[in-house]
Amino acid sequence: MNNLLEAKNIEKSFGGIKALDNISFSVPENSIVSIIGPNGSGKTTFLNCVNGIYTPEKGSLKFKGQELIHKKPHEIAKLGISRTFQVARMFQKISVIDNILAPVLGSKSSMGELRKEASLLLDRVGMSSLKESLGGDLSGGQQKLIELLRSWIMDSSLILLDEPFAGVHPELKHLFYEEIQKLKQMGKTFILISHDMKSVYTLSDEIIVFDLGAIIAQGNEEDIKNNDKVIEAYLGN
Amino acid sequence: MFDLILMALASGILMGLIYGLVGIGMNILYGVMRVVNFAHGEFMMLGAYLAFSLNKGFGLNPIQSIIIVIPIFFFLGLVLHTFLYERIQRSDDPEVASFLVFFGCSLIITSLILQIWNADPRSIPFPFETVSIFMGPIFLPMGRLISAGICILVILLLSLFLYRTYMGKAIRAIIENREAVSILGIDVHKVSAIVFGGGLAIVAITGCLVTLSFPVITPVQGQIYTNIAFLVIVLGGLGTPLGALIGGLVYGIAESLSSVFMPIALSPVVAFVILIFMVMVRPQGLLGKVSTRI
Repeated sequence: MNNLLEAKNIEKSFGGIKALDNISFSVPENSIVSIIGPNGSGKTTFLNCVNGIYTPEKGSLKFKGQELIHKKPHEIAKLGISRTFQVARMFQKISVIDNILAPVLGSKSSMGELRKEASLLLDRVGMSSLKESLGGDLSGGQQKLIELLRSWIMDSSLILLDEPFAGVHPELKHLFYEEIQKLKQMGKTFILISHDMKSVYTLSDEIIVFDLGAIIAQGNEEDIKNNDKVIEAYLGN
Repeated sequence: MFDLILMALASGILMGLIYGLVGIGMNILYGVMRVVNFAHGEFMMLGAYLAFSLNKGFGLNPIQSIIIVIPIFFFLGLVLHTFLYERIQRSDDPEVASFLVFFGCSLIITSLILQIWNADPRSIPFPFETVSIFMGPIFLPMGRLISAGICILVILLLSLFLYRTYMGKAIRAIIENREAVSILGIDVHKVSAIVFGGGLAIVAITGCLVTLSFPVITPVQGQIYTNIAFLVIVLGGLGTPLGALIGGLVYGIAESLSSVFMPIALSPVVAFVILIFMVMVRPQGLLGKVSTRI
């Protein structure tokens, strides 16, 4: 299997504190790689580097062989990387359907077709009645689901999910699982950050553990559960 | 007295529409680019003086001049965006940097106007200059009515653009959250260039309309309109384009009504008292929402 994303020796500091310290790992195509770790371990900072919000001081981040570092967020999005946020960043004063279509605003594709596709997506997750509601009228979980649905419209190859299950109703969580599985069946690749270990173990092909900006363990569920460094990072000495 | 109040109310609404349009331009620029254009009024006066020259040189009335000044100011906006905005964004504090840069622009534009058109007050004759419409005790000068009509048309077109077109929706999305928009693949820089050009075009339209509404224009009026624009967007809500229209109407009516009850020179005081009151009780403005930037 080819690697879709390759991170090599990534370093990022904030005011002398190393948020990412020599991070190297690969994300194979059509896989779900989860990053777990205590709060402040650098998980979200890594995602911010992947989609261009932060620029690492050192290292290389290659997506389909193309260097991402120094590219602007919109250029990275155009390459095929989409993202959801820990706190959903829906446009509160824009309708739900336009929120889904936001990535293709001004696109040359037929807007009629795209609107139809967005309507079908909303129908599938039981939210078609909310199509014309404002983004701000949705619950936090629904907003996160809408962010995920954007990935269908963007047709991204790599989808970054930052705490998608946090504060989400169990029924919605089930819908998230279904959508992630469907996207994976279509060949999409994921990097998942979550504190919800059950979801991480259910969905992931590989788990990477961050602590204090560095990778302390990597492997499958069993490898992680039995790793002393991971136990120490979560429970302390 | 009642007739006077009615007259002041009508006049306030007509002027309020112009003030609203002045504020809308500034509000969109602030919303999308997070820059406070402190040269807003001076750009407006530049538009007014351009209309004056188009009248002198080619016999165009201010309404016809609008068609000429729109592309000129749009292009000027694109040029300034390229040379100023990118540098402002690279600074440690873009909002403060924008204040200083545009304050500098205001001085440059005022000097430029003085140099080209000198300090004499100027006016543009137009066909309906002396015509007024009487509605019972209210008489409305045709110039102000036409200005208000054009303002309504521009605001309607702008609303359609912002709420019905994809570029308009992108602009509203950027006003809400720049970062989220950029990771969706929208080139915020390109959109902000278009917005800056469009914002200056709106300012130029307002400049042409001012020549219809007031008997004379002078080079130093720019600062007054910048203050009004600032006041209007604070009243209406910073970053909410149509809130500026409400702010403009409130300001226009307050200014006009106050002139009935007190010396006209004190009318700006009333407006600023309203501003201070608004900042104290509803700092987010009439249509603004309390928000935190993530």
